[in-house]
Amino acid sequence: MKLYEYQAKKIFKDNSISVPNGTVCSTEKETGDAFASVGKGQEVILKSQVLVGGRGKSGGIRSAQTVAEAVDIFKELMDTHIKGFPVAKVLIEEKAEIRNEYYVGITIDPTFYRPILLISSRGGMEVETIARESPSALGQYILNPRYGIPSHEILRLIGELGISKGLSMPLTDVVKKLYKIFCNYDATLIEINPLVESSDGRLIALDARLNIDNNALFKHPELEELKKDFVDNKETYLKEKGVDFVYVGGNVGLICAGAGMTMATMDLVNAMGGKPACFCDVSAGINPQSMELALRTVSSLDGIQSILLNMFGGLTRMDEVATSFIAAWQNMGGISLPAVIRLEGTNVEEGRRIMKENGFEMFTNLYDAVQKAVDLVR
Amino acid sequence: MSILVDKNTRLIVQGITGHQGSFHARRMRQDGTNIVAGVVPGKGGQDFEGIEIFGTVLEAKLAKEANASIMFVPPKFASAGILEAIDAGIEVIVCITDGIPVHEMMEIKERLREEKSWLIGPNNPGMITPEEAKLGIMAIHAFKRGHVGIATRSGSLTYEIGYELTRAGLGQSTVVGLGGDYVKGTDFIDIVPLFENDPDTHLVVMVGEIGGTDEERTAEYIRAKCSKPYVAYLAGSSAPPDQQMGHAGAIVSQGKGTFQSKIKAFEEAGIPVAKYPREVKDIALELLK
Repeated sequence: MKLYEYQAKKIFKDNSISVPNGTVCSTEKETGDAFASVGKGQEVILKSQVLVGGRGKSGGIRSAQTVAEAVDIFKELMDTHIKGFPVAKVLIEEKAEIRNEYYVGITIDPTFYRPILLISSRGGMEVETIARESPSALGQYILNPRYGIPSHEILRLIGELGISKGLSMPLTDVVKKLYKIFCNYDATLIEINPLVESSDGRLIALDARLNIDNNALFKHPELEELKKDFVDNKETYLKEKGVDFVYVGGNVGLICAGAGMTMATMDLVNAMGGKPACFCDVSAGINPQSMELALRTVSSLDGIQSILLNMFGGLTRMDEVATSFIAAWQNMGGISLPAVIRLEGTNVEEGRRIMKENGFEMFTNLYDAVQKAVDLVR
Repeated sequence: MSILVDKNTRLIVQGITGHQGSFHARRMRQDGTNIVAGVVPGKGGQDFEGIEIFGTVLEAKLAKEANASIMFVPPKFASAGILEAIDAGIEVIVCITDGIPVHEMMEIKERLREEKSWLIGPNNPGMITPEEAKLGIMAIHAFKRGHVGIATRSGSLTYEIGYELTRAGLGQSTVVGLGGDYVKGTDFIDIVPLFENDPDTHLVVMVGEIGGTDEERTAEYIRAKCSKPYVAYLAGSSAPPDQQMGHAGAIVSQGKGTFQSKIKAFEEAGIPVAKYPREVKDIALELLK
């Protein structure tokens, strides 16, 4: 679960990491009040709260000098989508006087499966850009989770990066606090980019990213409250109902079972000249309800022109899949899109009979089915 | 021969009285697996359809000389179940559970570095040495005895590819579902040396996907140390970056684990990569000629 910046900053602040003075706003009235209380009549920064990176370049961060300007920008930001993601709220913050910008992040190293600390003297850029373009400006330390982060390793990185000695202790302190949050909140990623040194020499988290492990949410009832602020939680809703769904944006709607199979089907659609519209995996439980939910979701996607149902049955019986599909289809009163069906594996012959009885042609060969689904969108 | 499990496997089922545990214990026994005990805390002394139940893994292991365990335990208790099996000195531990917190898996990974136990999974269909032992939930008809070793990050593609190999006359020595989580007990790089040293395995199929660095590291290992033929398939060429595709492990994040970097690593190691799942068997047939 990705948290919004203002949610992550609240947690940072509760853990004594400095963040700019700010208020999150959902209405014009709140924006007006925030301009007065946060900016005290001076320039303020308005930041779109959106769960995607790179919003600055997409116009999601603006500044305002007057209350009227702030309200106008608020309205504008709330109406826009950034890289297809809706804006939930707008965070209004005081303008920071910046002397230097740094990067600090902790995630799980994909090679050693231990937490990895990343520090850079080049804040403000995406970390992969820093790694690619100026690797010497990026310090890394993979730590043993049993012992936490030793201060001397942080100090070593700070020294190697040539960060001023005066920041050694405050920066070490921020890193230690970040690691504490990383562990306490079961985070998969925690990041401050940029961490700024203000003109009066303090370190302030200008931005905040905190991603929580979905598998650990049961340990954090305190985070339940935050979900209310998620504007576009269709994927979360579907996941709770047993449909693992990610919108991708093409014209062939997929319904498959198993993550690997779903990805492989997307790849095949792509390779054969179509564009997959989504990742949609119903393997968590195949029944008329989950099938209907998947069908409704997929068939209502923008630009969708055909639906491809693809499953290989091991323990899942294909006659049950066929029965569930037909029940869902009929319950919806049919769908005005062509559906291509490929079933193979356990009880496939019975599945074919059920499909045929209901007027659906069925493939067992995966490649013929994908080709057909792609041909239908041409 | 085979790897990790065979007809000498003496299996414990942790959570044997639960809904999943009882269903799959029955099926594994039907499929020829030697289940010697069940473990359910607080139910020691009872029995499950003729299988004796113990309160702890250690008691079950000592009483029945068990050398493997499979658990059907909900996510909240799964890491405790794994640690209990490691503590009891079980050699092969299979955990099917989907949804174990990744910080708990990091703790388990630290323990595994110090112990000789193998953990297969979590979030996987288990493993099978056809006609000898099945420690998992897969339907056996897709597989038959033979000389192809399969290791895979995807349960569903294990069927698709295993079935095609079987139909083409290529049976399997052992099929291992490594699982879809970001942090797993066993990666390709851990399992490849076992297949390489197993005289019964003549060719190894790896079914990978985007995310992580396992395929890259394994390709390098194979290039340097292995002599058997290897074939790979990779899912996720069309997945957008920063979007998790079902499996927690299948995410391209911070520029790591892209489809291109994995393809490049396999190519540099001289390992053919099947463009489609069905090409795996074509390449395997060609290499085994």
